[in-house]
Amino acid sequence: MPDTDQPPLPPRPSPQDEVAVQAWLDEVILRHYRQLYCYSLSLTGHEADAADITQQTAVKFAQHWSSIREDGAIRSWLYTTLYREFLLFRRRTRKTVEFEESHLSVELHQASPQELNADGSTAMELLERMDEPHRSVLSLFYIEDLSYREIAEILDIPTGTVMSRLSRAKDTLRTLLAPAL
Amino acid sequence: MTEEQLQLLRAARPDRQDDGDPAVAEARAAVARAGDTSLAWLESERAVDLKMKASLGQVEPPPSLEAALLMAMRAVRGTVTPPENLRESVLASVRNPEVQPITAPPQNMVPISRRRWLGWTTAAAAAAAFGGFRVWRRISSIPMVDLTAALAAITAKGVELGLMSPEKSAIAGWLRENRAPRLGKFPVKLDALERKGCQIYGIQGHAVSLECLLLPGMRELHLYCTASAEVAGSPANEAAPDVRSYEGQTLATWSQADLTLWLFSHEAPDLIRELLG
Repeated sequence: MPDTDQPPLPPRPSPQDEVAVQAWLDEVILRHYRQLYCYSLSLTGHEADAADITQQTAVKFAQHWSSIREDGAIRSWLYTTLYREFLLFRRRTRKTVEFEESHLSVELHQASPQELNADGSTAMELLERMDEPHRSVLSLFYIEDLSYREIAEILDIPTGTVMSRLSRAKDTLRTLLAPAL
Repeated sequence: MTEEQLQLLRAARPDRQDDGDPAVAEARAAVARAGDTSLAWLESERAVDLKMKASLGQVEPPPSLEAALLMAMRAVRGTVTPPENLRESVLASVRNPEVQPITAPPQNMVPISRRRWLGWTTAAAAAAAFGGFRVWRRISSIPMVDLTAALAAITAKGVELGLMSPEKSAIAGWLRENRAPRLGKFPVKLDALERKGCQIYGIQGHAVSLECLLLPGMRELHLYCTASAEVAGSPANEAAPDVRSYEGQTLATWSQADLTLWLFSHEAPDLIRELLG
């Protein structure tokens, strides 16, 4: 989960100060990589692919950090970039069936909310049972604690779409958790 | 309570940091007016949200990821050059050591985006941490059945070629350069096929080379090859190829010149027999 008590990022170094730039880039990535990986894992469902996409995001950040105008926009930039990398990955691998708004894929196995505490695997499995558009919205909501407006910005979709997808995804979640609710 | 308010409340973060939003506040008030059942629903939603958040917060990235990311950022910015020959280290350091391409990416690829690069950078980071690369040692021979299953899985998943070239000589040179096992003399009809490229895999510490051949219509054949001495239960040398169905593919296995070979395809067994004839 994002650590709201983290101190603010150190000031951006001069691009000419190679050592300081590297230290600053490291600091940014170390703050975000766990959540980025978790989000990537929720999208791909595969550890190696998730690590690959996370790494590609970090690499893009190292290349383009100076084009991000404000430090406050870094988080959104990272998630936007990661999601684009995921879309490229999906296009290359064609593992994921194109989304149809009319259905969510739900398997019959059900979990209990108590199981969610053990480790992240049960929660991740629940996310994996959803179609990608719902999964991507719900993952950002839970993993990075983003507002629906921020999610809309990252995924480049209207806020109304985010709200409706969140609502439907939560319906699915409740169905999967139904026995204990 | 309207559908829009319902959606808004479900989109509001469970730690209530969105309560300052007038629309959210109004939706909460509408829930309160709707009675205890609606309030209970809202609370149960929040409870699930908090548990999901806490649970996903427990997901741990691979231990090597942090070092790999930092190394990758340095590599792309040109402040670090990864060592050129990390074959041994990759085998020792990848998180899943069962199957991994172990050769350098071709010049025309963007290496940083490839999974093997993750292995390289992980290896480089591990090397930095431990002060030197581990020496790869072959532990024991690998059962034929295990190796066949691993190769079938690689093929089914889709191979990633380390060298893409139609030139036999280029493929032979590349495999030789990387000290990979290679069949010197192909069955005549097989040898006549067009080439697509090659790769080398490390499977439980054993190097297995792959040559991808093409039938008309871009139908791929995957010929894997390793030293028979490393395979427990390899076919008798120079015996006729055993052609059969294997997990949805057609598989031919045989031994030739101290090498064990696997040919995977989706072609009819008779065609494979003819090619190996």
